[in-house]
Amino acid sequence: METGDRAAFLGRLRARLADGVPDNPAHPLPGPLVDGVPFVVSRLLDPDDLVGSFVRNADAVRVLVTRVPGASVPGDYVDELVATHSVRRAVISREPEAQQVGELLAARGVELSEMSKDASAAAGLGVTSAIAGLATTGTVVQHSGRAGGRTASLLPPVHLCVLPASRIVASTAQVLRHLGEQELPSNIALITGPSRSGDIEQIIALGVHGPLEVRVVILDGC
Amino acid sequence: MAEFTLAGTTLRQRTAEAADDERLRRSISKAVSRFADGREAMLGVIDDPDGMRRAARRVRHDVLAELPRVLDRFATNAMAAGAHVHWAADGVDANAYVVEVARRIGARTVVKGKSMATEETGMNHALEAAGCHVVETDLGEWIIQLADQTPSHIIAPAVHLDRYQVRDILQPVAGPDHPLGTEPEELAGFARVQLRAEFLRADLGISGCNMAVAETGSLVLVENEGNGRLSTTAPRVHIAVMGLERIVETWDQLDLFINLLARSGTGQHLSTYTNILTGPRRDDEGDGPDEIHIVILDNGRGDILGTEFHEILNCIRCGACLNVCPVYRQTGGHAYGWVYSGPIGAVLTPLLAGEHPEAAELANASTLCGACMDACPVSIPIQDMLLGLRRQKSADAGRVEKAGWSAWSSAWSRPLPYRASMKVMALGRPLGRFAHLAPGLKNWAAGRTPPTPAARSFTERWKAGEV
Repeated sequence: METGDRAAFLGRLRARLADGVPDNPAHPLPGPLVDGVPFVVSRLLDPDDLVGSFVRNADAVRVLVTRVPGASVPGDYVDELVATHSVRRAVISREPEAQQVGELLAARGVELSEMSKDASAAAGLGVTSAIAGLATTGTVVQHSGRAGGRTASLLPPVHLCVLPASRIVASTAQVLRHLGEQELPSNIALITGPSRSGDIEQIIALGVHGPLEVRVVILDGC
Repeated sequence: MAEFTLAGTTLRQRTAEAADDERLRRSISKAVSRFADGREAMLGVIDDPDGMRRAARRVRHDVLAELPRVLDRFATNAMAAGAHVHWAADGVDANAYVVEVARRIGARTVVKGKSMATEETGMNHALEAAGCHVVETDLGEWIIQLADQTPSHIIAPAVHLDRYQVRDILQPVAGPDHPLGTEPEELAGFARVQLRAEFLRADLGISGCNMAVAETGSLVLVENEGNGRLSTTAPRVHIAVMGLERIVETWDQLDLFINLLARSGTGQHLSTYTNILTGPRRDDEGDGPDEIHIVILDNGRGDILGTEFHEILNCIRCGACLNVCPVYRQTGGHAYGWVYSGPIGAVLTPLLAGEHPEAAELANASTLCGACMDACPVSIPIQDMLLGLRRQKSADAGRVEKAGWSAWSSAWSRPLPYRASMKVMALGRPLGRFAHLAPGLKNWAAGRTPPTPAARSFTERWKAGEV
């Protein structure tokens, strides 16, 4: 649906631009980008060690990262998680990597729900996977279509993301520059660490609205 | 232009007040130094940061040169993804649309993510007048909403307050039985509990928009707290208000800006949350809003296109120019009197709210040092625009003032009249500090300390072999 007058609105802008944009001789415009839009390359990325870079950079933004050798999250990791946070209720995304953790949680007496606003608001833990991990920044990329929603990574105080090592790519470019080629879900969220605010004297307070703790388990075996 | 007041005081009064407030200056200076240092560190780890800034300026130029086509493409794709699009010619139009949506869905509680555009239109007052309970959810915005203040920084609205002042503002919300401490972590924890309840009961969420992407009809919102994600996820209806220039065409372009925005603003590689929204929740998604509305706002922006101030629309609202500005660092944002402060505000305010005589004064509140352009991720030549605004204003200035400057410039460009004028000034030396009493100089001299003319001029001393 559309309201307001698109033709009149854009017509006014066209009239303003009819004579082009004036030059600024003091600070001339740079030339056209003949090679396309440049990529931002950070020295915090070791291109020969994407997983190692992810671990270092995620740690720097206070993500709790664990690397495990196999293709699934081990039981003792889940034991520690449940004990540390006294988890009683959890929401689990639809992704198979998260479902595997769900089975371990259920076996430990944790009550599981599918993702919804109310279920996530009541849960102590949200479990998801990611369509990608970004090595340069320690970011996990959440896809609401694949996960079946978005609140598991947002409302519970603790978010666990299960990340297959093969999905770790260099940086935002490897994800963002491909979004035009696919059907998009209602939400893609790039998450870089726990929720934080510096609004009071620039002192970082964690968990002001989203999760206080973000954990990533990297599965080296897949 | 709704709600436009320049704080009901003059620029001179506001700057004098700010300059006298030690506590304010301490808070501002601490914060902007931290942001500016962070910016340098974060740009320092990427290859060729100046090349990236040049490319970013070029991309913004290319998009704005074709803005009508890019906006058209955006709207078509956003609607194909299920969004409602509203074209708002001005702030009154935007507010009326949002109030109408709130009425239709029977919204009682409205949660807001940080948005400068809605500050500009005075949307909160419009919604409150329609009976809605409006809650700002960015921690800094919530604090200043409770204190009935306006943002003092584009990205850190409560930057002028210290922890003791914040505690005093939040304490009435907690009530007398729950004394609050002054640790930022504790105060933020208190806000989490209070605001979480508002998010869960809200019927309508309102956000701004950092950047729209035309090729998929998507909105990109960047934030650290999670209140932006919550405002656009928890209520069943979400309205985003975007200035018509907040757009790129492709994801390649967005990728460049997303990597410059947080580096330049808060001094982070990326913000904690980069939230990409395309249409309402799909049938197979368990949460998210059922309706999404995008209000594309002109409100004076279109009139800037194609003028000498065109490039100000390149701004991506990172706040870097505020952090490096020697004037902003001394006064903070409230001295600028309106929504946008610092160098960017000194240009935008007269352009967007030009009918107010006080607005044009802002171009004078600058040293023209150019630090703003050096810090700007899209290299906007802000100082050239401040000069342009001064030129416009002087074209409107009174004849007496113009004649005075023209006599001065003519006299001082020739040796004889120049030397004669120096003699006259030396004679007037004993009167030096009373210069402000001279007729016609009173306004100009107020707030300035006049220099005392030397007894003998440099030329005289040079001739005498003294220098």
